[in-house]
Amino acid sequence: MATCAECALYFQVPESEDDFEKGKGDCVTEHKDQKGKYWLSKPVFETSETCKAFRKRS
Amino acid sequence: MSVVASQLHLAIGTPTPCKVCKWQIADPTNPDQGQCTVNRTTMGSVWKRWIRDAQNMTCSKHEEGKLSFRDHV
Amino acid sequence: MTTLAQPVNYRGKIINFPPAKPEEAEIPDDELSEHLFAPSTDRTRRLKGRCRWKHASAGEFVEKGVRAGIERMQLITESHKSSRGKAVVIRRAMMLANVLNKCTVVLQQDEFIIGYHAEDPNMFPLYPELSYMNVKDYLQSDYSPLPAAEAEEINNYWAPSSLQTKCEKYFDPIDLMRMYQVSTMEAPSFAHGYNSIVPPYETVLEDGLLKRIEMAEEHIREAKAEMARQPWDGTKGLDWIAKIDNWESMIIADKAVISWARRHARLCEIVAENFETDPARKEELLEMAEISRRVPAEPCKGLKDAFQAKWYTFILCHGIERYASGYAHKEDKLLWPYYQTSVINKSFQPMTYEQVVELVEMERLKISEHGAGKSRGYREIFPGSNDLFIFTIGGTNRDGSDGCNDMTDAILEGARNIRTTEPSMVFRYSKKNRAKTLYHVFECIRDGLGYPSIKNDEIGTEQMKYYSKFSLNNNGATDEEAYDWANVLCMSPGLVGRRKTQKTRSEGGGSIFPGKIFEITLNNGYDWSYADMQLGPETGHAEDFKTFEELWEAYKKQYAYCISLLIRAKDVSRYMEARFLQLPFVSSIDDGCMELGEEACSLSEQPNGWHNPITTIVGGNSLVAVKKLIYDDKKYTMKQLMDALKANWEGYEQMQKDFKNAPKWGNDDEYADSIIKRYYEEIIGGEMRKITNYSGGPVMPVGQAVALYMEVGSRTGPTPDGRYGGEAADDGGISPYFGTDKKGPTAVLKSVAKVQENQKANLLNQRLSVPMMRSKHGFDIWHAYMDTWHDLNIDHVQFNVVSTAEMKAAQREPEKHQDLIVRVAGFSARFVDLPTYGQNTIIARNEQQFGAEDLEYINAQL
Repeated sequence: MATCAECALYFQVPESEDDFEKGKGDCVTEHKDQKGKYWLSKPVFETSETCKAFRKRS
Repeated sequence: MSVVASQLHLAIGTPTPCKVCKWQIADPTNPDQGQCTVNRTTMGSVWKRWIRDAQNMTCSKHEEGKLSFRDHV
Repeated sequence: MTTLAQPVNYRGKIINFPPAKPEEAEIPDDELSEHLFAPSTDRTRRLKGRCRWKHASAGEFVEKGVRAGIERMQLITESHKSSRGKAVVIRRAMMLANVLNKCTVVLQQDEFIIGYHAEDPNMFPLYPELSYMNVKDYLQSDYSPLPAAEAEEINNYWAPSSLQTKCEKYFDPIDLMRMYQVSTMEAPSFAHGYNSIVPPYETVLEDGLLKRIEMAEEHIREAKAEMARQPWDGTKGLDWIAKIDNWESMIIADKAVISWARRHARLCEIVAENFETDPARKEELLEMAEISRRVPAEPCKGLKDAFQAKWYTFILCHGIERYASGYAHKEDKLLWPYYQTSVINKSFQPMTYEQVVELVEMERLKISEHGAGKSRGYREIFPGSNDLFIFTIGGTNRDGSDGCNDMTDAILEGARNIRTTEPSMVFRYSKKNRAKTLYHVFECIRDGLGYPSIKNDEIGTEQMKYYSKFSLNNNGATDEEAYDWANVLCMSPGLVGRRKTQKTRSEGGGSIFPGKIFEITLNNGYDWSYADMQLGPETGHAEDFKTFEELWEAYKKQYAYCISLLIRAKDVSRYMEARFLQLPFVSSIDDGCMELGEEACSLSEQPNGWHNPITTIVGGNSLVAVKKLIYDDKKYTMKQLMDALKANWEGYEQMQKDFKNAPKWGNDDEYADSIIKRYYEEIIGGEMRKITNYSGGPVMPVGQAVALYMEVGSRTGPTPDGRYGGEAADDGGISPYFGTDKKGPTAVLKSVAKVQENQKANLLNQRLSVPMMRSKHGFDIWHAYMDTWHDLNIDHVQFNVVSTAEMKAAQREPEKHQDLIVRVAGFSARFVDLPTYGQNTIIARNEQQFGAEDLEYINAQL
């Protein structure tokens, strides 16, 4: 099973950040609807199972 | 007390509860209660009646559906 | 072609009214508003074009796709379950921290001010810790959070410990049933969760949260040292425990807020580096990131910082820590130091006045997207808008000098350009205000925005001094601080600043409905026309009142019963809020809470108690008609009147005309005005001010309306003022009933000025002639009118300047009139988002023309 760590939308939280935890990252997704584009960021862990937004990191 | 079919009355388990009537709109505070808006004056005003029990009250003017916000108050 | 106002023969001259802008002569009356939208930049034009409005009407959301989110419910519940055993205030801080650490953060295309309070910009959060009925209503609606089963489980989890359940047990179930109907009384806040607050923005902008954390840490160190003093004194030493917990909760909250803001910074950086292709926007995203790394952690250094820190504080206080309506702050004063830095000195975040106007427009659009998880009752009563968002500008400074500055002008200019219904604004009118700013105020009003509404600057300042005398800790507003006020919501002044501001609606807010109360007074307290139940004490049947005074006394008793119950409900809410719904973030940014180690809902330094009588004039005009036709002229008996009312005047048409034509409020008619003055001062204000609330001060009436004049009108049977059952009630505070003010605009002012005692505020709606206001004399007439209004010591006035032709055109073709805005009551609404019932009440308002006598009275210099 693929994990968030393999996803192109997973961005590791840098050690300098207040909310740094080992293996923690931001899942950042782009969305578009009739009103326009927006981006959502949600904390995830690299070991989490991927979701339907998964995009294989190139 | 006799029941007048055209007026709101209690009918436990009625298949035509106010809750799904197009003239009903929920109570402002308690979602188990409601407001009947079927009384409309020729001037366009809506004279509401309180529904104590939206699941178990009905009347002969019952119609299923939902009115647009524009037809409410 | 534009219709022109009829010429007036004034002081021996024929005064014509050509349009101030000659090019407007070719614009048809029924499409004027569509020509007034003038965004300052392409960006704000795009932002408005894609604005995610969350207007509600008749309890429904107007735009498709709007719904409640579940994320906040999930995260507070997760924290609540895992923090058992800790002090309640610490648990409240941990709940907030859990939300801020784990919530989704949102960035939208084109925006410069970042931050949203739900997991998707089309959503809004819910608050199961407040009212289980409110969440249940959402679960049964088309806007239910998903998955619905999980949301229901969460609501069931919270129901036993919700504010509603905690408070209900202290009330008779009959009293609760009466309040929940919202016909004589508004439901208490514990049953609907509606709230309002005045956040102390100043401390966030001036200090930054890192400093607030240091302050709390220092207090804890001092407290622990005090506790260690020998010999131990348990009567004093134990007080430190609650204080230490409060300071600790503040630290938890503030650290979480800083981290959350920096998550926004990180999102901007990630989007800039991985998604955005436009180099200019990339650069802007990196600037936004840089700002969110610094604020609200550090003090603001420039105007962009201030807008962003203010926004974060707003969504925390109004949408995340707890729901609260409002947007109370004195915006021009708050932002002026940063304006000076960025625009005048250009020493940090340098920018031009025009760029400030763009920022104002962007902020207005952020507010326009802000969704509120408010109850059905509250979704019904602000139709055509998202929620009540109202800020204040103008007035005077602490030294009494003119409070207007270039920031004031930018705020007004941005509002006029972008034409959004929210936020509404209040202008504090003083004769010291500079003409340049007054012209901007006039332009907004003339263009039909309905705002600013105007408050009398001196009355508000004196009121802050008066309430200060009742301060329980002798630390109410000083004479200087009394100048620092803004409207808390639509109408009532309250302090702004670093401390002493309102933190919960239990201080002020909530409504009582004298129109319906009058109806039940005639029927021994029984409501035959809506709920079919006893709604108040048994005070006798109208047919048995031998004199007008007997009726008067019965009415007074019904009103007194309602108002005592209502204020008791607010104070019981506050008692529970202070113990179970603490606000650690709000506490951390209030200097009083920080100094004293107290919690925001608990601490009261400046009393400011009020409650809103709505539908007052239906009651007042009914008293006048009954006295005139039954007790004085004896044209009809009370029995005949009661029969006619029960028949909704059917078969009694002549009688209805006689009652409709009885003297009415707003015509400078001594017969009507003497009764109504006594009614306002002795019953509406007199009975209310006998009450002492949680804060130790009197509760005073703030007459207004929101759209409760429609809702309560539809729950009120026929009344002796000639009204039919279900017709709307009067549209606000001290405003004449629509269409019955027939003696011109200055007669209205003369009537209103007669009511002076026992009032905190009173809303006055006036509709002015569009062609007169848009003529070359428009400003001079309005300015002279305002000076007269001020000299008559009237508290408030607001205007509709919209033609009947345009409103009727919008009823026919709503899609073509999206920019038509009207003033409903304490808020402005998009006309096409109102129910037809409400639209008709705006059209029915009398469009006041200034004749020669009016112009003479206001001493217009034309």
